[in-house]
Amino acid sequence: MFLAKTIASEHKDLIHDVSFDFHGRRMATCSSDHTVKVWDLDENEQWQCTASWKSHSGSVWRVTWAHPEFGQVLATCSFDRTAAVWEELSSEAGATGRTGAKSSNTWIKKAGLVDSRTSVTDIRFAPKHLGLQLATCSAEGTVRIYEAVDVMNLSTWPVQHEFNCNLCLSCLSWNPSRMHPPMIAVGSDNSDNSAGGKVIIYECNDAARRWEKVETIFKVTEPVHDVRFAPNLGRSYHLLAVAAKDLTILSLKNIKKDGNPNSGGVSKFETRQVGCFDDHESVVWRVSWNITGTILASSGDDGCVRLWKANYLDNWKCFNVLKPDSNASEAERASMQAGASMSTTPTSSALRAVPPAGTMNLKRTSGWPFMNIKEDQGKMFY
Amino acid sequence: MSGPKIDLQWSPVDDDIFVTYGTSLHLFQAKERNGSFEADENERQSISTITQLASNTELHFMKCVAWCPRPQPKNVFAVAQASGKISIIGFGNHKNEDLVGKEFNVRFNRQCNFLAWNHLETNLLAEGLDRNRNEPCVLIWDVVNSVSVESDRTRHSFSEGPVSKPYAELGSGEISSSFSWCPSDAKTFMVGMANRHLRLYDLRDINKPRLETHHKCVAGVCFEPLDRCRVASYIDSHIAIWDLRMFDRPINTITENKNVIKMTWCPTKSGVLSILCKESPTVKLHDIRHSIFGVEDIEQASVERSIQPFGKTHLSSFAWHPTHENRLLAVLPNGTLRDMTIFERIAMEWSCSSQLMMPVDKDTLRCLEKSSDYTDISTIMRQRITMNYGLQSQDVSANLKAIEGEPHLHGLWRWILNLRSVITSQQNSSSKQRTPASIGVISLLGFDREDNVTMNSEPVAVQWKASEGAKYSSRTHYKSPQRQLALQLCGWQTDSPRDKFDAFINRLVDHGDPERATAISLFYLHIKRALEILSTCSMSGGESEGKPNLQAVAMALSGFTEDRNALWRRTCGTLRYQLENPYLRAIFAFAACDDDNYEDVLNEEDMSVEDRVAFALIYLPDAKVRDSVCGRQSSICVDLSPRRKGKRLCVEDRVAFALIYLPDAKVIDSVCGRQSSICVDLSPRRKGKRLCVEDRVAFALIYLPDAKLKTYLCKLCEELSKTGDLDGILLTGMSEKGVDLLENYMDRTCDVQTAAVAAIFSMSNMVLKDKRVYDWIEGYRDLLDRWRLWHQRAQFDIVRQTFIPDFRVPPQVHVSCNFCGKQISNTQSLMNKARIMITQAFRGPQNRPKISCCQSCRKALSRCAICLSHMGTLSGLGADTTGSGVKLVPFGDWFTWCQTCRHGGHASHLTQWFREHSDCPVTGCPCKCMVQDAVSRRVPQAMDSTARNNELAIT
Repeated sequence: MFLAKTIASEHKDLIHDVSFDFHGRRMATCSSDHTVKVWDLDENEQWQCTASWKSHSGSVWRVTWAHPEFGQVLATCSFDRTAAVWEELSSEAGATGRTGAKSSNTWIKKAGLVDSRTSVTDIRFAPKHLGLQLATCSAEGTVRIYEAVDVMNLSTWPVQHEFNCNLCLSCLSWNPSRMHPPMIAVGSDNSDNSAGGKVIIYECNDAARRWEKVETIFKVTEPVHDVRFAPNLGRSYHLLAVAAKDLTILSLKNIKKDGNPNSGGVSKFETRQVGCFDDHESVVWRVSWNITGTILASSGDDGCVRLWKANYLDNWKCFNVLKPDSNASEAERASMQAGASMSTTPTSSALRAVPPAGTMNLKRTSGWPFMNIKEDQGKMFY
Repeated sequence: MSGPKIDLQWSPVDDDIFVTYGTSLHLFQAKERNGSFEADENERQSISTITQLASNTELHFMKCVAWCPRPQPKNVFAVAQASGKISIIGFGNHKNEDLVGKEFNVRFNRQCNFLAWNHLETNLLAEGLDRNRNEPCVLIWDVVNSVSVESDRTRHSFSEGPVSKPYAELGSGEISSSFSWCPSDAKTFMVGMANRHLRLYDLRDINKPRLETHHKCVAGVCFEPLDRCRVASYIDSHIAIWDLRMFDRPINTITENKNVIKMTWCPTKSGVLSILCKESPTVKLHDIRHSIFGVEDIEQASVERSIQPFGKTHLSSFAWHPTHENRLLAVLPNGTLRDMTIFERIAMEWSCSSQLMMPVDKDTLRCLEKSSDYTDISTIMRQRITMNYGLQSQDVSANLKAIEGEPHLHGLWRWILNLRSVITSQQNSSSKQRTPASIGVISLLGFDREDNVTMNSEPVAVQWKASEGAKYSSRTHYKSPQRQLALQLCGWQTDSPRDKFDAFINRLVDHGDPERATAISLFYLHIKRALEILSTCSMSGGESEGKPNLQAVAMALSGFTEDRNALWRRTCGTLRYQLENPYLRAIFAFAACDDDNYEDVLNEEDMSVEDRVAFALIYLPDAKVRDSVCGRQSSICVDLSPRRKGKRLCVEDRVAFALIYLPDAKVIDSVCGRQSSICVDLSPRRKGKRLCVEDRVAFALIYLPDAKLKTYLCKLCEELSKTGDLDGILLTGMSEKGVDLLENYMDRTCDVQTAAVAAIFSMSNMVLKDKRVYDWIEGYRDLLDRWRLWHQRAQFDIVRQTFIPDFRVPPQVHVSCNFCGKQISNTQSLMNKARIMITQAFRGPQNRPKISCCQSCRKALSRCAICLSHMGTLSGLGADTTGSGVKLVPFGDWFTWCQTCRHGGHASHLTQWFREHSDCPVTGCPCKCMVQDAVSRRVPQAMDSTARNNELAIT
């Protein structure tokens, strides 16, 4: 059903996020090893790592691409309490190296967003029609909306809005709908189940020029690890996937306000739970929608990625389970043939297997009196 | 540490060997990962990959077990007994090893609290003891050398006399509760002592601790294997994390709900502390690196994971595999084992081209691509666009090619096509009446208006056109100009010009739809023709599977009689439900119906809406029974579940059903009975076989009187709209209601493509002002952009403009003169001026008109940076005067320039230049033009779209 391709990531620690650009031709990964890597599809539709740099002094939680209209811009957020905006400056080598083997593009840090006092847990660019805006949320519970007012100048990102949710936040998602006022859903990984709803939806009130809480999803009280709005494309409702202990899919339908939509009132929603699934039998970690918002992928602690799809009756059903194990063997076989990922395997195993003998010898020559090899015992006698 | 507690350890040497120990010692081998072992005797022989290699049950009062990390001999353990005595035991044949069998005695028998081998200097074994007078509580034995150190006596006599002189001892008169060797430095170790001290010692100087701190957490001291500075310890339910660089107080504390019974660092992942509490089914993993240090006012949020290897069953112990990543072995008090893999958390993301990227672990990214055998609307839309769906504005029917396999879209396109042909036929006939674009049957008939005066259909008695001699009574048709038009929208031809009607029927037959042709002929009372069609088709076409024998149908039909009580009618009435084809069913329903009671036909739920409506239009007379209809309706509605595709037919049924009860109510019972029987045998997904909406509508148009027609159509329309059935567009047209219907369709399928294309092809200006439609169109354009189908997007825009002239793309770039600042462009006035000049200067089509100066101030234009000649040509200026729109200016002569330094020239020259260079061709200009535009480098095809909003002037 699916073709799996394996790519050697060469990250030295857990990869926390992967993000595609607008066209799906570029990809960025970020990891606990403090680095961000950028990958490009080459002529043979193979992913090549074209840039890798240490971007933070802590685990990089999330990475996100700006719309290409604003240039090749990435934003990252990290445990080191900062977020950063990066822009690609392609060197000359990069320009000519398009035909060559490996071009190394430089990514310049255009701005560091240092307002947070705690780990910045998620960062997302706003949908394009809102301009170049960036939302971050942090463990102290603050959501900040930055905006590059001058899109040509990516180094100044004044905080446009800031509001606190009084819950340690783990994730946020912009509503991509063009017709709806700016809307953000945030999720909290607060482990106290009695702290109430863990998903809160905020909306930008144009008249009051501030963000207001429009909805708290009381249904979800478990720690939330990811929230994602589905691409809207002009549907009359918004789909929100929530990854908590269970996977929850919510449908938010705007109840039409009477009269003028600009009257300044906050939108009212009819929130309907279209699905709640415990198939992962453990914590759901991430969710991701496909381009039309018709397929949802969820990953959980069971190591499986599940794909979900709604049938005609709007019943969401799991139609595929991707088990890493079975795929791993397959993919490894495939990569053996292709020879693609071979380069990493030896290096990583070499890293792991620290030769104990060498260490011992070092210690021995450094003059300590305790010998533990037969020859040394011999010396001891004399 | 008493009772049935079972602990376990992985072999420090072998990958697949581990030991469990409680009251006895068992050696296991796990041949594969993710195995399990049932302690239950009955199931032990099950297909487990964990096998028990050996057992040692002779040891009594076993307190602590430590696995010797020396590579040879394998499987050697130090076992401490309650007395404090340590024995070295081994599994297997160790005859030549002098290590095995050694014993180490302490001077005063005390309980042993821990045993720890030094993994770097593998001769050292640490033992911790309870307090006894002034005796030391930590003893470090040199298990190898102690032999020789002790005396030569043991060596000569081979007697395994116990060793009693430790290599080192410390902590006099205290109690030691835990001990850990530093994993990176063989001389360093940490001891939890005296219930209040954590002390770090160096073996070279054990008199005085190197570091010391006072803290109650003295149990379970452990160094993190991957970070030499990090140590964890616990007491009861409190856990403290230490950094040796600031040892005076813990960098982090964790409080569990219950007492901790085992705590270890994950040996393969940095900063992961795993904790098992007493009477708990879960191993909790704390990510120490990502907990927040030093901020008191924020509650602890170290990333935590819970692992429940046995569901709700309480664990006895667990152990990480020392080298395999994420491999955890858990054991129950009864000895049941489970070797499991802890999966990394997978962050994944869909790309817009339906790739799913999943980093499965730190060095592997897995990319999944869909293969063809699985459909989603995103892939379907992508396929359609490659077949130019919605891009062919000239030949509208060509759009249908892309959706051949999707019958639910055909109704929409048939409506568009029929509407087109109606409009063009009106243009040809130059009649006064103009049908507005994007109209539907309901508004065409004026049913959407409040006043109901517009239509006055006259009943016309029409005779059966049967063979001579046969006597049938006439049937009533209803006729009005609006009905005629509506019938055209349904795609039906009236039978008034006989040749056209015949052509229509023949076309249907040729397209392999003889049943429909027959039905339509019959509805127009051409029974003879109907019989002809049936017989010819049954002769010519071989009997395909599932198709009833058309000849038999013809035979049955020819027996048609109007005698109400005739056996034929009753038989038809009951047997027709056996027929698979809805049109054949409709034929018999029509033939067998009582006068003017056409509900069976209209009810033919498989028949498309068009046909049903058309039928009603023709045949239905009056509306006095509407009240009773509505009453009936609701009672039927209850048991019909809405919104199911398969059952959707029933919904239509319901509408048509209501119409059944018009003249006489005695049929009700029998009909109800039939109704249910129909529902039963209707398998879902018969969409393709349905009598299409057009035909149903057309039938109604012929047979139904105005009022009844209105009821029928309105109901039908409402139902179709509610279910988002695009066939209903025929009824609504592209009106407000039509957009509602499209929205429902969109909500259901997310087929933004069809929604956008339909809105545009309807050519309705009104609709395009609807916000929703705008949203669809923009959403679709965005989608095409994401797929990098820019050409298709541009084509879509072109189609949009051809249909909706209101929509205009403003000029994107203006070029103005350096001197006078006037625009240099090909506006019509300029064209005229230029033409005079041109026609004088040049003759012949091969001489392209050149404008090398500003039109207003006559100053020369700037020069091309490469060829240094004046820029002479502008896009489109060379369009010839006959207005055919052929561009004579080749693209290579167009102006182009760098967006940054504004140097430029002829496109072809610059293209050539930048193929070899990346910097500006102008002397002294430092601009690296080629490097500036990262977008064009990334996505070379994007040139046109990125330049869209740049309004730049050459300066």
